[in-house]
Amino acid sequence: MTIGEKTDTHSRGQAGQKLAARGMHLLVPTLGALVVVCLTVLALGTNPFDVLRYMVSDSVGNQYNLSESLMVVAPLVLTGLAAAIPFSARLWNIGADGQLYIGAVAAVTVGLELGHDVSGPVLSGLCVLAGMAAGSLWALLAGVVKVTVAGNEVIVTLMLNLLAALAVDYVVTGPYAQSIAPQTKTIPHGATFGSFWQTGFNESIFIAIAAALIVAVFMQRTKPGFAIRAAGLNLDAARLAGFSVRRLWLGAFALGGACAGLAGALLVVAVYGALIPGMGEQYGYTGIAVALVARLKPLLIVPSAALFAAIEVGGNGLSASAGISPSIAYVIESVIVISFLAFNVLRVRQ
Amino acid sequence: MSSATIQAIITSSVLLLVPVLWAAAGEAVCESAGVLNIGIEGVMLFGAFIAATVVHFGGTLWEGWLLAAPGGALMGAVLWFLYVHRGCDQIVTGIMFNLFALGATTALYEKYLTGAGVVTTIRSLRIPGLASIPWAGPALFDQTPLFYLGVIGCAVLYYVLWRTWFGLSLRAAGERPDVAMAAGLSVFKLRLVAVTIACVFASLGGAALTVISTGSFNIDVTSGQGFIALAIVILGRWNPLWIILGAWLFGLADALQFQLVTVSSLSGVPHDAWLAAPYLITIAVVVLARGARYPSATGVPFSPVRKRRRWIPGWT
Repeated sequence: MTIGEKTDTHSRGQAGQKLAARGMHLLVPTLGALVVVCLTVLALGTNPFDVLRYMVSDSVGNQYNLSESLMVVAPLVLTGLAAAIPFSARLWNIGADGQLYIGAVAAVTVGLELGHDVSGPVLSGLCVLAGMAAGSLWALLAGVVKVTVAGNEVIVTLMLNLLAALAVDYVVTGPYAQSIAPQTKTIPHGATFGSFWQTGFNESIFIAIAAALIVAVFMQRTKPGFAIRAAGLNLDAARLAGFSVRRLWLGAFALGGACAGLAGALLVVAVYGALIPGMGEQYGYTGIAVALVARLKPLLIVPSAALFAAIEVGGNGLSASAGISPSIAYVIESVIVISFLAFNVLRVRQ
Repeated sequence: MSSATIQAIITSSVLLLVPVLWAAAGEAVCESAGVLNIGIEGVMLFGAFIAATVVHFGGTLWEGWLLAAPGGALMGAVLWFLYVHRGCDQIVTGIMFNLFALGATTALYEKYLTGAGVVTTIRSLRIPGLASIPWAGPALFDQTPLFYLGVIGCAVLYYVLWRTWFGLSLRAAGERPDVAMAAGLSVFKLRLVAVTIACVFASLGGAALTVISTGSFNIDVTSGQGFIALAIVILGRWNPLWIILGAWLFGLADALQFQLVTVSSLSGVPHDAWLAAPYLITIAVVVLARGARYPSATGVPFSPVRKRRRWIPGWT
């Protein structure tokens, strides 16, 4: 049988079977996830169908809620990239949370210190650059430990998250403390982004999508991007092909950290105008889920982030509508990812 | 610094090491058998929540602490199914389990447990005679019973892991699972036992946090203690006896942070710098542990060439 004949035998019946098998692959883990989430919601004494209805209307139900969801897309795209780039090289950067907060700290510092000398868009640009640099350096701390002493980057990045939270606490209570609320002073008005529809939704989403495009081109079309993917597929092969594994590990960490730092800086510049503890609502960890569901593909991260943003914002509304904690969103997100992993829909290792 | 302050630091350092001691001791067994349980933080969080729930609904502190054990065993079975049976990536699954634990305990806490907290803690048990040794006596022999049980637990785990055939099999499953399988051992069953032990211990450690240290549950009450336990395991080189000393280092860092805040000559240091100490030490442990080597199969899902059962049509 020649190759041509073989392809001819792929009739519609087989294609249909394949499609059915694929559907089963998705259906079973989705049902599994639904069962676990429903059990959790029932344990909270709420009707799961009500929760679903509230979540849909709270996330995309009207213009205001939709814009809230769109606002959350930007940080989730960026933290998704922060996870996806190092994960492609099989580096476990769990530190997007910390890198986001350090980026926000740097952005607010620059915004307040230079606020008198520079104005408007120049200042917001400087804030964003400072945030990216700071996030990048924070991630590089873990990268340096990894390449110099082969330390476990998971533990180091987790600790850097906790340290970043303390740094935020210090900045908020110490040098830039505002007297009324537990947050820093706001950066000059001209430096913050405007908003569409009178909400937090603004240009930052385009910056995030542009970042996803740039990373996609970088990973698919450039030599360093190829090197990062090669190191993830087979480290020895990458080494034998002449890539400096240490350098590309450091590069992957720096790039991931820059994305997370950008997310933090944008939260300051575009959304809040100040540094607020807890403003990063576990975006770093959610970013891991975003990246995994997108199968680490930079362009798929955008729709994946939109899905998780809807879950996050829908969950936030639940305390008002159904009287249960917004943290139920974390349950939904984690259960989706775990069941997809357990039923081989997602695979981290090849 | 007065001698009373020093005594207080020593005594509270031993009290504060108890939760991480339990968690790290269990994690050592699990990593020796080849499973890296990053989900330890979530298991501790659930353990702390179980204890607080039992106490909130009228149970005693001891009942709360002990009931965390079956909860831990259940979590162990679930995590074994994911890590070992399904061969999911252990790091990602563990992180996601932590997120699940944070979400579920926060939601349940806000619904059922807010307001009233546990105000009492388990009373310390004074061992007559030994407790009157200067410095060490009050710290080691006038301590919460959970500390004694933890040390006994470490000794038992050490004996099992390094002095029995079963322990040898566990370590074989962690070093060379293919060889262990060829020798006729069931790697999957060995890892089931190891993950269950690890989760029971971690859950009891989390519950200890509720019944001795903080006195009640709070959102994210563990605040990274599970991850610190991962570093203690490296520091103790997967030996439960050394882990006692490793845990004490972190207990000391915690105790210093609570006591030195009150010392007037150090008042210029921001409070957050003290809080950062345990985390900085954790990073230092990872950096300085150059000689430490994880058991070689740790973190790698074991997939022997075998026919997988088809659970659903179209399964691959």
